[in-house]
Amino acid sequence: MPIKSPFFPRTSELCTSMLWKEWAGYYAVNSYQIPHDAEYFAFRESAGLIDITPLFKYRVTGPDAAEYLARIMVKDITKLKVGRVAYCCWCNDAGKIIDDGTVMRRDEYEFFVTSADPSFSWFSRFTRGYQVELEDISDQIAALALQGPSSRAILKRICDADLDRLRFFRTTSARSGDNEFHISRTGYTGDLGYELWVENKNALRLWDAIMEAGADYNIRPAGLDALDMTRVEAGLILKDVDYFNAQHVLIDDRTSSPFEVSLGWMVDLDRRPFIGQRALQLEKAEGSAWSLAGIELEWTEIEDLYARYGLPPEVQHHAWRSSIPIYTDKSQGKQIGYATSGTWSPLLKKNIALATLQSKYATPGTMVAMELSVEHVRHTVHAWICDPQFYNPERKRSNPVKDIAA
Amino acid sequence: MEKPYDAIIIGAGHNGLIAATYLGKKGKKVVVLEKNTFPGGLATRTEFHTGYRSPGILQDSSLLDYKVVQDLGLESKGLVIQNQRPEIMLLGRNHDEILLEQDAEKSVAAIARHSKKDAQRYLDYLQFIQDIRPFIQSVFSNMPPDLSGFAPGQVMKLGQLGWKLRRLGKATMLQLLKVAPMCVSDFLDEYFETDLLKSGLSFPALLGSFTSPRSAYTTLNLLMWDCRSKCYLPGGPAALIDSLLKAAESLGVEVKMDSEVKSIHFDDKNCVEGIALENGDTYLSPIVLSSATPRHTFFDLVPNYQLSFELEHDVKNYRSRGMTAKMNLALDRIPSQVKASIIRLGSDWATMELAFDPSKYRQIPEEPTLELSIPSLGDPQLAPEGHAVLSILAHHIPYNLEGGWTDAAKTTLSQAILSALDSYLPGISETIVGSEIITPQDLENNYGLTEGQIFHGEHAIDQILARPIPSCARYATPLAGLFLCGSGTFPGGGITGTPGRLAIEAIR
Ligand SMILES: Cc1cc2nc3c(=O)[nH]c(=O)nc-3n(C[C@H](O)[C@H](O)[C@H](O)COP(=O)(O)OP(=O)(O)OC[C@H]3O[C@@H](n4cnc5c(N)ncnc54)[C@H](O)[C@@H]3O)c2cc1C
Repeated sequence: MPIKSPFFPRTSELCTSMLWKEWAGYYAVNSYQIPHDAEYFAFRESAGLIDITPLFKYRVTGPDAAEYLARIMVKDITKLKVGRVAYCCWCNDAGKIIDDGTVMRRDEYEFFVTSADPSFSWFSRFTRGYQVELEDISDQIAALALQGPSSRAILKRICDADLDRLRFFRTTSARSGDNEFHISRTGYTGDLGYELWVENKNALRLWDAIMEAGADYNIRPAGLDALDMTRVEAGLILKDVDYFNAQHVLIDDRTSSPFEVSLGWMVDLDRRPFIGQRALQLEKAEGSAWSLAGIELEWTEIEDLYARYGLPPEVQHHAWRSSIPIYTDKSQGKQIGYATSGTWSPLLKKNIALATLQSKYATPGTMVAMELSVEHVRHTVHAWICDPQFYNPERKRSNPVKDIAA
Repeated sequence: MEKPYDAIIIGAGHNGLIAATYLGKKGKKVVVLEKNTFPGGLATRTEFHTGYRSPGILQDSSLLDYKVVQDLGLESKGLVIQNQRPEIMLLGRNHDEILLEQDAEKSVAAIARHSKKDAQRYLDYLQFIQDIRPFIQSVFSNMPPDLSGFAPGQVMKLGQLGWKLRRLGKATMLQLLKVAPMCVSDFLDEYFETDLLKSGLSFPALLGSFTSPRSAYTTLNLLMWDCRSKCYLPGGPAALIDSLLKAAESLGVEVKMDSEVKSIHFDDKNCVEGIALENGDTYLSPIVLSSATPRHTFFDLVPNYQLSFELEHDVKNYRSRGMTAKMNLALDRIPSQVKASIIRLGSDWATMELAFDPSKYRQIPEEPTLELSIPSLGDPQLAPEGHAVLSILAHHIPYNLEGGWTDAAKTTLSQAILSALDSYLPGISETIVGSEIITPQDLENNYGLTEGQIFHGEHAIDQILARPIPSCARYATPLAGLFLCGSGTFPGGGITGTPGRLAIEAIR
């Protein structure tokens, strides 16, 4: 049976839909009300509050902590300054991704790392020879994501952190009354937003403070359904959906390198050896077989297809995550890849998806064809390759105070 | 900083010296760096009591690879080598004895005094060893097959191996395939009924490893030894080192003592660049061969970030549990009962199993299984005239003894050894004038043996065929320019010199 997060007393009361799922061993709300639209729009137009306690969390401390993490992560963590956060992934020897998460440098010798899968076993393989302590604090720390345009204003009301100056991918400690917690300006919606890390015993107080301060802003508790739509809009990939943990797959074909899932930008190749470096250097030199791209379906063709059956065009109400073939053209000549997840974007009014394509077809602007079933029959519609960051508002990165020192 | 060397060799044990001398012969500029103040590693002569010396920590030099002797001209450098395995005396607690001599007829007669049936079967046993010897020798004296891929050349090599196996004839081949995975007790039970003979013959199968007569695959270890053990160095291992040093020197190989390597350095392409010593000196070379143990090499000398996950994982899991202790005794006379320079104190399977059991629980056995040698019989200069040096190998003495190797624990071990010894050779303790006990912990501290493992890693089937680990099974390692050449590589530990010789073939 899944376990209850420290926020369960509140989330269970609010979840009138009874729509729950299991996330990493925890109860997690899919949507608080049966339609999740309001939660989606909270993320995009006011603020949504989501319980992200099920993430795995590690504390890494000691004089060699940075060197140690640099050996595991594709990013050179020794270069990460105090107060900054890195989104990164880690690979096996073959340069294939195991998992992704954030690494926060809270102090010279103290890091906080999150992951989607349990990672203690992997991380602990590399401690030999380092002055470092690795602790799994997953079940000591509760976490919330407060995401959306009003999130800063709400948070400012309840804590002392200098949020006007806290830049994108920075972290700080904060105090709300006598409640201490950590804030990172990170999230999974591609919008202005924060993630809050708090000891279990203080979790409910934090929830209550935020909900109270957010009432004027139309804050809503939000579930995973709404989050899934926003993360597709933001082009953020999801483990076990858009790629698989290289340690969990049955066949090598299912593994992906960072380059293949558009995380190449985070790989610091030319530095001290790190796990997967050799394979990644080789891949960089030879080129990657696969690339991740965004695709946008041709709406008029969808209308036409449905019209053939005397139907109005339909869109799926939820973000979807099944593998759908993509071809060079509508005659299904040659399969060149597959879409892994997608959604109707209510904000952009577009049918969008994330796709894995043979690299030579992944250039933005290329026209391809994607399978679409209407009335039990498989058809194809045209789709355009584009940047997977479909939605990327200026406020995600900007600060009200412009003259901040780097 | 000096001019770069063509190769740096870590460790002046016999394998390190052999690799260096081969390279010297090829005209390479080579330096051997040894942390101790004396060369030879485990094959070093030491004075353990005034006037009494041991010719090296190991006792048996019968496995020496004759190709090394020939290639390096060691006989012309003074090495005396006899083309016969030394006689072995099996001694029972009730003073039964069996002398196994080179002359099979004499051994058969000795066995017949215990069992006529066994005497006959002994000839069958020798025949089997003789039949499989060419195959085993060929496997263990050539570059191990590459099991990592199916390159045409490699498949052919494997095919040749299969052909050699088939050439043994169907019956012998099937017998070999049948017995190799067996435990040595079952294997010898199929031949013999006399406990002393069976237990005595099984000793080489147990040396060094975390195994007892009833452990799987121990027969393989016995066959590996029996098929390859064929010579005798009257001067012991130390004489080998003396001749090697002369050969190395004559080829301009530098051998530096008191030069403990602290770290191996890599350039920004992650290729070996040289080494640094504890004293701060550095030596440059694109090639480093390490004869130190695999774990020491990878975990202490190579920066940890150079290791891939697989390498880190495999080296960590390479089994290297020390199970052997050594005791040297200075005796004021040559023991009268002794008829050979090697004496195995035999018993029966149950007793040997009981002697093994405590080691599983990190305890010292009450009656350890002992193998003796009297090196002063071969080299009388090791002891004053009329006196003797008795070297004892005690099996199944755990490195990770509960409570650690304190002085009290050492005393307990010495007493257990001496009391067992006395029950076989009554009165011997009265002739002792000096002694030295070397625990597995001492072997680690003084000779750099990881966990005191005498072979630089256990001899077990998985760790022999791909030794020490699959990615380093052919002397080259995944780290460009770093090679292994010690007992932790194929075909394993013992004074063979084969690892040092074959490692050179891996350098291109
Ligand atoms: C008690 C005992 C009994 C044995 N009995 C037998 C037997 O009866 N028959 C048999 O065949 N084999 C026996 N062996 C095994 C045999 O002795 C070894 O396998 C063999 O001698 C190892 O030779 P080597 O050259 O590979 O390594 P070693 O002789 O161990 O040489 C390695 C050298 O490297 C040096 N070194 C290590 N680290 C560094 C560093 N960082 N810098 C510089 N130098 C370094 C060490 O000081 C050492 O001199 C026995 C071993 C022991 C311990």
